[in-house]
Amino acid sequence: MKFMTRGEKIFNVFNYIFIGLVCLLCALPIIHILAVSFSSAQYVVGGRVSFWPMGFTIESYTFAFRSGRFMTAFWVSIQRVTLGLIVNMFLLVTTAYPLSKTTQEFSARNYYMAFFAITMIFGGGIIPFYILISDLGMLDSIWSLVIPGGLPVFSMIILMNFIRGLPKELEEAAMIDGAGYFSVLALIMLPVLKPALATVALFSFVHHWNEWLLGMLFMNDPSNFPLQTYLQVLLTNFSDLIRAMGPDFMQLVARMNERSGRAAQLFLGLIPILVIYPFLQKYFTKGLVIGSVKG
Amino acid sequence: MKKKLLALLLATLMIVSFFAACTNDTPAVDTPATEAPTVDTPATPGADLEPTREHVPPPEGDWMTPFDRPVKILAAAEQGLNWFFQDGDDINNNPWTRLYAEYLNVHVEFEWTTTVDEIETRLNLAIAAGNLPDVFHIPRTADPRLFHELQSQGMLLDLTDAYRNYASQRIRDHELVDPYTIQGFTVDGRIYGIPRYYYGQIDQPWHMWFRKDWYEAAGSPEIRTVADLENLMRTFMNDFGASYGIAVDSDLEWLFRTAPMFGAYIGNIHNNEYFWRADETGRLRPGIAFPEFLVALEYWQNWFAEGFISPDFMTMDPWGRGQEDIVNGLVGVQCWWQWWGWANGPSIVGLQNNDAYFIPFNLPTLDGSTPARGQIFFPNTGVTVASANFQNPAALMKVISLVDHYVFSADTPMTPADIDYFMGEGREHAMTQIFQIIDPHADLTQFQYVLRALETGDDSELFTGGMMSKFRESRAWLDEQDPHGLGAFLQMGFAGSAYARSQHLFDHGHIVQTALWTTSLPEFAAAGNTGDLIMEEVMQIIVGNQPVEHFLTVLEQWYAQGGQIKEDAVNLHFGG
Repeated sequence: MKFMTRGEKIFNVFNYIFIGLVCLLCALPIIHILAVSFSSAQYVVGGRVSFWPMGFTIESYTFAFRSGRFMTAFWVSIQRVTLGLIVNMFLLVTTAYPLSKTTQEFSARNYYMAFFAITMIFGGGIIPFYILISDLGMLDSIWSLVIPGGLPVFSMIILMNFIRGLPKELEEAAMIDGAGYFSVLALIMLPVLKPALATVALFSFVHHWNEWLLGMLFMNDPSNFPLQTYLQVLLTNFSDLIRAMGPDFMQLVARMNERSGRAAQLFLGLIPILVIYPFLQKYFTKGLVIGSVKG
Repeated sequence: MKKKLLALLLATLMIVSFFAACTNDTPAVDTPATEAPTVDTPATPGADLEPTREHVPPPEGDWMTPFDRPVKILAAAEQGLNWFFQDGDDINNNPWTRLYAEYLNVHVEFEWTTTVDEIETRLNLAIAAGNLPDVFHIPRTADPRLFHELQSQGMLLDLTDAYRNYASQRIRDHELVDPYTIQGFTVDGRIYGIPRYYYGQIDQPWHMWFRKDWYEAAGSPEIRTVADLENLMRTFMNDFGASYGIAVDSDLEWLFRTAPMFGAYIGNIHNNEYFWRADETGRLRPGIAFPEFLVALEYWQNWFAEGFISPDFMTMDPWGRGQEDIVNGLVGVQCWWQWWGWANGPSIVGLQNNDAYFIPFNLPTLDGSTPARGQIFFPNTGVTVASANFQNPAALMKVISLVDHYVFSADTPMTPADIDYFMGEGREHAMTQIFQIIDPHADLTQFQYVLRALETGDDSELFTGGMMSKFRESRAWLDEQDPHGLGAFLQMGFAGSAYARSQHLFDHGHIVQTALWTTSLPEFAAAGNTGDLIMEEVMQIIVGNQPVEHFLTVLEQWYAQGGQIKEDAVNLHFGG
């Protein structure tokens, strides 16, 4: 067992306390939402719920499932994440590998790199973006949520740098044995890219799960909203809307008194991230430092 | 290992939840089976033809006469996330779209729908993409300049002839009730938008709400003067444990709405909503520029000093702490809308007791000779317009007339089952949307019929979905003490209800209407936000950091910072 000095022990104690408090700060809002979601409406309206349910009820969850809209949005998000992950991973691998080559091997490499890098800094604006998607006939289609973010450039750079950090001899040996670039990519590179792929897959998953603006812009029918767009609308500032709507308030009031219902749906929306994260956490930590090895 | 176990547990939870939901995703368990209405519909001519967006000559006859061949309207509208459709139905295929097709041979298809707070963005995108739908709705919440910009750029259709020739008499009669609203959508004598109108001015006056059990225990005193009100607040604080006298929140709206007690009419400054009326010279001025507002400020300053207003009011979010104090029994007086029962009723009954809900009274005045006057603001809820390329405006007018006939007319021979079919679970709101022109007498009529039905016990004369639901909810409170019925009961279910109080104000002329009969004016954009200055300085006066006279200086600053632009614009458009 490693010997620890007194100073190190004290540091460790304070370190654990500090990290514990930070963790608590992160966890408390989630615990509060969970408590609200299981509480009766009057206790929520009365501000009596902190971290433990008051007037325990599962009505909010029953409402979320019965209303149909939550589950529809949940299903759209599942489709989006699945398709998004497949498209992202395919484009990431097939882009990062050639761009990891030097200009001696791939003469146009820098031009392609500049082309991709520009998109990280400049955008075309919402209206041209909308017109493009509209002209491509992708409005109200799941592809409008998948294709525009098909190649996440930041993740591509992470993957590219990881490939550059691999020993050249791996690829050279395969080439000597007669493998082409596609064989090298599929048979040699992919297996050793596992940590980096897991990292960018996590980024991709989180992005597709949390992104809400595209759903708002490109989905003509709210029943096609992905979950985060649905939740974003649900969390709109009701009091401002009530004032603005004047007498036509009844629908809004009904929603305003559903704070516990919203909390339940927020928590349900969190579950997939909570499920995926433990599986990918070790790769995630590893992946975060990949980009810093070689740039 | 623990991590894997946790992940496994969470994965199992998600999968179980997902499959549990998928096995029961019917919108509502007790939804009545979809049944065809008993209302007779005429045979649909040309049923074998595809609906067209090309011009189809309108048929001879009144608005009820169907087109000779199917007409298609491509529409866009706002849609709420909590609207339910029956099994197999959706926004394009539901009781209402089927009715339009069967009755008028008009097929409505929604090109897109979005939520009410996003419709302006979607409209702007549609304009940019050059694909405005045939018919769409500009809600009250949208930028008021949007209509005028679209009209001035030739993107809206002149609806005048279609409106005059094909809208029902009932729709056109709304102009007699309120001749000014449609003027806001008329340019050079031509009508470019059909206002959606509103449920009635009866829902606008605010009332002073008192906690019922405390009020009755205090001997149900008559509250005619401001001094009476102060005595009641003192009693609630001294004898019933109220922490302070009257609910006031950080945006001050609940306090500002008490201004009519002092003869001041000011609206909600937080939202830059001013109340405009003529001074002795005939010039239109905002309520804050009248001397009565200084009287109100003096009273409010005293109320704060005496503890009638919470010392924490400046940090109280109206939908957070402000509401919490009410339902937790910390305050027994609140100036509020007529729909208090929906906002707070179930919670306060659940946390306190069945008699702890608040009951409405008209606002007192300084001398007590009459109740304070009810303030009426511009109430229109939006406008239905058509794109310049739309070929069949007569079809739009016919659909509008049909919706009105079913939703508001007493002539529609609808049974309770029909009403449920067309209007149950929010279907009226969800599906009629842009085609619904609200009867400006709707709430008044509803109140009179529901109150009579409750008094006599005979509900056979109720003829709209709104009437039926308000009657049922009121009965649920009276018979079973169901707190979810409190909203309707307090609004219109007894002789002392909010609408009964408002009716008294209208009957005796205790009403004052703002001169600004629109949501905004184009010139207001140059004036910017003038409300923050007033809000900040009024708070300083209320808490006693500044004397009441300080407001005269503030008023000068207000005029300099954009108020003058607003006042000139209001006088230009509505003065004289």
